[in-house]
Amino acid sequence: MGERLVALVLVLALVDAPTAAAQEPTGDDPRPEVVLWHAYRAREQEALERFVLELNQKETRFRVTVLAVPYDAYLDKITAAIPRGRGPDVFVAAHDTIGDWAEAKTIDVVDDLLDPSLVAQLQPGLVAAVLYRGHAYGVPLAFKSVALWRNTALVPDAPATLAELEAAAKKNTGDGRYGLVYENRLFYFHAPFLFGFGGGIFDDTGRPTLDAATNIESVRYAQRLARELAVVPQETNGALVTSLFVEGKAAMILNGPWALGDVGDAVPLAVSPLPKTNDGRPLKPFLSVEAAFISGKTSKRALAVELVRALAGPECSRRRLVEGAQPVALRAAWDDLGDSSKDAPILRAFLAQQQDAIPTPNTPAMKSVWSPFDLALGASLGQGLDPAQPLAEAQAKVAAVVHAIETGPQRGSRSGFIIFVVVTVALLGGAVVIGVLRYGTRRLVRDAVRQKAAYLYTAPAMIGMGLLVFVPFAVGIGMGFFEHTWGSYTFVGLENFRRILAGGDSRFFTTLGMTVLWTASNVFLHVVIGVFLALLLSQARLRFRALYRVLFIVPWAVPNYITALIWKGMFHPELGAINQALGLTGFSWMNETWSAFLANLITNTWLGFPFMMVIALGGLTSIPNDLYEAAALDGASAWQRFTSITLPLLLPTLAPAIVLGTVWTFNMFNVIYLVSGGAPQGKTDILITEAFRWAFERGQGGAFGYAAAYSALVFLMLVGYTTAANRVAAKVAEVRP
Amino acid sequence: MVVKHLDLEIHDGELVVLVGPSGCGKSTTLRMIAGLETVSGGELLIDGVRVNDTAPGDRDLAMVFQSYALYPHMSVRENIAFGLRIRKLGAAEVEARVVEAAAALGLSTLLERKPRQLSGGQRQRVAMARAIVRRPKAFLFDEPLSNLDAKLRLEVRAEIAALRRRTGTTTVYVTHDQVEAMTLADRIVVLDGGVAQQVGAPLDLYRKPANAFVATFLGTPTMVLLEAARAGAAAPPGAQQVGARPHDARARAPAAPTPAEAVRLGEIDVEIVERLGQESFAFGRLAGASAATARVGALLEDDAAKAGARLAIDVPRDRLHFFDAQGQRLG
Amino acid sequence: MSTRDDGGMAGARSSLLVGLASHAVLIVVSVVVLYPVLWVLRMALTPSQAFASGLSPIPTTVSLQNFVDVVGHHDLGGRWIFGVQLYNSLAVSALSALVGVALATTAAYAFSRFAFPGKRLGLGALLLTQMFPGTMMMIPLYILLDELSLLDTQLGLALVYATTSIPFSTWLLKGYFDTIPIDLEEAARMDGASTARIFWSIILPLARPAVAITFLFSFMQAWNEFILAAKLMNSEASYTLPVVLRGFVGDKSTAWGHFAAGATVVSAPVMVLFFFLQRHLVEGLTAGGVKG
Repeated sequence: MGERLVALVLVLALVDAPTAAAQEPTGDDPRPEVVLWHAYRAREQEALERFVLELNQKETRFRVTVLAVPYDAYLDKITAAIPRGRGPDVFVAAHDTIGDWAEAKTIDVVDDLLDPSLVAQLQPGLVAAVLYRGHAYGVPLAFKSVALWRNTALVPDAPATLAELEAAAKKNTGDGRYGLVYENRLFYFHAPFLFGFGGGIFDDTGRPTLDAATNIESVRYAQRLARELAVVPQETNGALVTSLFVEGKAAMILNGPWALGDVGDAVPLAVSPLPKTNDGRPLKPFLSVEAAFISGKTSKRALAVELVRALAGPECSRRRLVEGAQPVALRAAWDDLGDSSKDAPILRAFLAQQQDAIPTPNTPAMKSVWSPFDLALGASLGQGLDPAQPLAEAQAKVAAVVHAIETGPQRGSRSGFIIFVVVTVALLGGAVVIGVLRYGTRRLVRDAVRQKAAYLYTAPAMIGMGLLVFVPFAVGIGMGFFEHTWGSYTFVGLENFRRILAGGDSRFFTTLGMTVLWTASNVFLHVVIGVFLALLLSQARLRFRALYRVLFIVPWAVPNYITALIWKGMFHPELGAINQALGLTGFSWMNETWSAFLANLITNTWLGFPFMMVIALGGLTSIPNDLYEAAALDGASAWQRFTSITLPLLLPTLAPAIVLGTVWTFNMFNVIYLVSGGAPQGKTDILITEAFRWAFERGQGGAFGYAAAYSALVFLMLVGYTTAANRVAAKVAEVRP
Repeated sequence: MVVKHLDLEIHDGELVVLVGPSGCGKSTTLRMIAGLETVSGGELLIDGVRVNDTAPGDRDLAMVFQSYALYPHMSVRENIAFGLRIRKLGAAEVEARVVEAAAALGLSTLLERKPRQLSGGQRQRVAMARAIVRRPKAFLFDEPLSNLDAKLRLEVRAEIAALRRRTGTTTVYVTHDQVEAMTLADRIVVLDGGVAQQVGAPLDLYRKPANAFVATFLGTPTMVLLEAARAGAAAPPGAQQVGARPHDARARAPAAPTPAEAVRLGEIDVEIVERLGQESFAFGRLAGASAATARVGALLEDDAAKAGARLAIDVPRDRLHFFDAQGQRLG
Repeated sequence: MSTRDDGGMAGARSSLLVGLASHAVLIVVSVVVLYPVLWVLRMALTPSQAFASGLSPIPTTVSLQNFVDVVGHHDLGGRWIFGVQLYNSLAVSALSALVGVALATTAAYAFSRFAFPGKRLGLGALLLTQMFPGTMMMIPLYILLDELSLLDTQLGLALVYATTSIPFSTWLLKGYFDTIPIDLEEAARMDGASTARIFWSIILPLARPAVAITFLFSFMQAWNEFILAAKLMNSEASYTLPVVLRGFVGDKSTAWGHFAAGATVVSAPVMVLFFFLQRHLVEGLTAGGVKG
């Protein structure tokens, strides 16, 4: 007892110790702290943080604390932290979220900072990106767009036109090699063609124009590259674009400066601006402007302004350009680039490309364009549909969102909210009263007093869970009765639920169907494979049993977000191990609903069978051997023994695990999100990923209310399921010897 | 299981056995004494002090469980010492008492073993050592022999008797086995349906069972109950049933005369003959009785008799037991 | 674990065939199970940041550079930041597992042994937590931790992990406690042991397999988590390893070599724990399964 207590005390004492030590040097620093967040990594991160380190040494008015946040969590973290006053004073991010942030007052207007003298020092064309409703919201630090990378051993001269591009690509296609590789199912990478063919996203009034003829034409051209000429591989992701290029299997790629760190020196390479169309119009990629933003909640705005000036200033820009290989906004910095480094010509190519790049629209509506357009591209390139139809669907989706934004949030109702609160409290109170009455008040008091130790024992767990699990959950569910618009919540009663169940969202029921199919097939396979392997492993005379058992729980021990990504790679049509092993090279798993579903299913089966296997192994040990002997004497065959003894006696053990496994699979986010990502066209999404998309990819700063209503429905369905399942399980359990 | 009514005083140094069929409330009674079961009505006194609300550990009683309840993760030594440690005895004292208890039960060489390394009899002895080491006011035994084979059971029974004699500690012993009850007890409490049917010394109960239940529960082969009319004039007024223990009855040739002090209950067609070596019993249904009535058993006078023979049953008048309509003893 | 004979199937030849077939199946399953994991190793050992393609999971060029980069990472102040983050991961996971198991064992004991008003409600509430979709809890949780001044503290992170692991842990432990004979506790009560003493000296030692497994699961859950950690922790010196691991995944590019090396480093301790505790796995888990 003593030792364990000491260990616990030690751990408690040691927690937080290194953090405290880390802050020690700055502990008595009289300078006020300015917090800077960014999501850079590798060289860009190092260049920025080196600058901050030096700045801290000579700056007298403030000191900077810098934090690199993983990209995945970055936007989310900013959205959560700043309204609570826990966020940074200054942060660096791409400009395309400005609309949402400006509306939610996450970021402050910086018209004062971005004065004409500063504007004059920046590359022309960047400031437009940080303007929203006539005000400047950020100071451009750097810019990024794609350009054409080529392996100079294969393509010595940069193609000037699409015709030349096609010729060079054709020459280098075949034998597992591709002339041109880019993520052609992502709108971001398709955009150069769209703009090059004269297309656009919104008209002057802000209405979407996704189904314009020029846009359709541009997608037809992408179809030509991928399907007719077949110089572009079926399906790619960022990782594969880079790795194909590094391995010399891609002659040309469309990629941005971010690939610099990953490419290395494996192949001789050059970067040039994108070619022109055959009638002389330049292909225009999206331009992403990375800007410094000042938090709308900062209490140190004056110092934050100074920090932003420093970040945009010559010293920082030079470092970011030269050391971080980042195309910076400050024109003067480019003079220091020189020609000695091998990055220099590449960076200059991106500088040149910037002249012909279009800043991504920063309006809130833009966020709703990406996913529908990606889906339209998937349908056109994967299934080979004529682009007109998928683009019309995308247009309809985006138009609906834009319409919702224009009409503004629904009118809240104060009396409705009061009624809602009263009804909720009454329902909960009623449930408590009924519970107490059914138990009997006197009996309740007597038993509670008699068993007071039980409350002592359960209290710590229940209080902890009540606070950190149930409260957030109740609030989360409660959000389903509100509509969220840029940080403010409006009470809308059951409207979200009505729209999901009876409104225009026909997706709910198809997604529910997919979710049920997904859950049932997974649990079925987990149980069948788990029990089968458990039977094999419980044979008395089998050798290496322990070894097999250890091996088979490996999928359980490795974090699933790692293995899900690996499986996604293995399902790649050309490069994935699965197609190569099965001789299916070229077959695209993500093109059809059934195959994408199968890919998800295979991955999750791999992840999930060990749990059931272990449970089944335990269940088998509890079946007395003499039952088998008796059955054998009765002349039962192996199969009869399995169906008449093993299965019925195993079921009571398996039943609770099946219920739990069902609940887990129903909410299995990682596999769906990482493997198929809902492809094709969101058809393999399950309710939980759909709720996530509503929360983070749609609406005005996140349709949290709608997503919460989704989650509440998921929760209710699972409660219903487990209640029913437990009744069945209780019946099954009666079989137990 | 509910204990409805039980009024019992156990004297110092006495060994009382609670016996009865399963479900009669005997274990519940024991567990109420131990404090493992709450007493919902009435009083439980130990040394004149009401202990209804005293925690089991504070009643200073030791219990030997049917399953022995040895702590599987502790050695024999730790098992025996556990109760003493809880009571915060000094290490030397604990050690001395453990050694003494182990020696008394022949466990000295097994002290470092874990329970799973012991035989059933050894486990039983560890359970007893755990009880005596505490030197409690009383021992409680809950069917301690039921998990042992027949031979071991006899041995351990003797050991329990010896132990009790040596320590002189008050003991309450629960069993469903009436032989155990008869051999061990100073006094027996026969329980049925949560009610004490009779309390008394073993032989008193055997000889003068207070009611039909006690009469049939104690003694093997079991006493047979017949309608009182079979005893003829011997039956007192109000008698409903007459009973006779097979040991008291004699099966002899129908032609032989009934001795003067005996009553002839009738004649049987012998169905089974049990020869136990020293004595033999004949069993069969009384002529004229339906097939549903119980078999009557009696000592065989002529050892040569075989199944199928017809024999008369004679019982000495003073060995007949009469019961009224409520099953209560008459006379 | 007990074993079963295929008695009655008769004949050494047929049992040899069954054995061979079993091994054939088991070897195929082993390959399927290990293949994706070997891929992680391949990318970790290949001196490149590109995603590996092809069929063979065996690296063509082997280098430990990715491991050196990841494990040897120092921040600009010259501090061995990987060490600090490794320490954070260990401290947070160990603390959350300790707290989680401590709370779960006591709660499970009460649920297993006492019949008290609210027991069914409590057990039902535990099961309910497994059905909460986590996405919607994020924002309220963030605000709550902020209000409790637990944001950006290891204690706060550990408490969140601990409380989320309690339901499954309690479920497992209650199942196991249910299988411990009540006699043992009664014997201890007769010996004068208090409820606390019985719990500590009798129940806990006897439930060691289940406690070990529960600890493993709680530890593993905290050790692998990155979404909450990335959101709740506000300095690099307080990040845990999975957050660092996710940091290798950028917007449009991913350092696969570093990611794979990091994944290997992160997974290794859990694998080792699994290896040592796998004997208990079946026993510890099944008791929970049997009793629901």
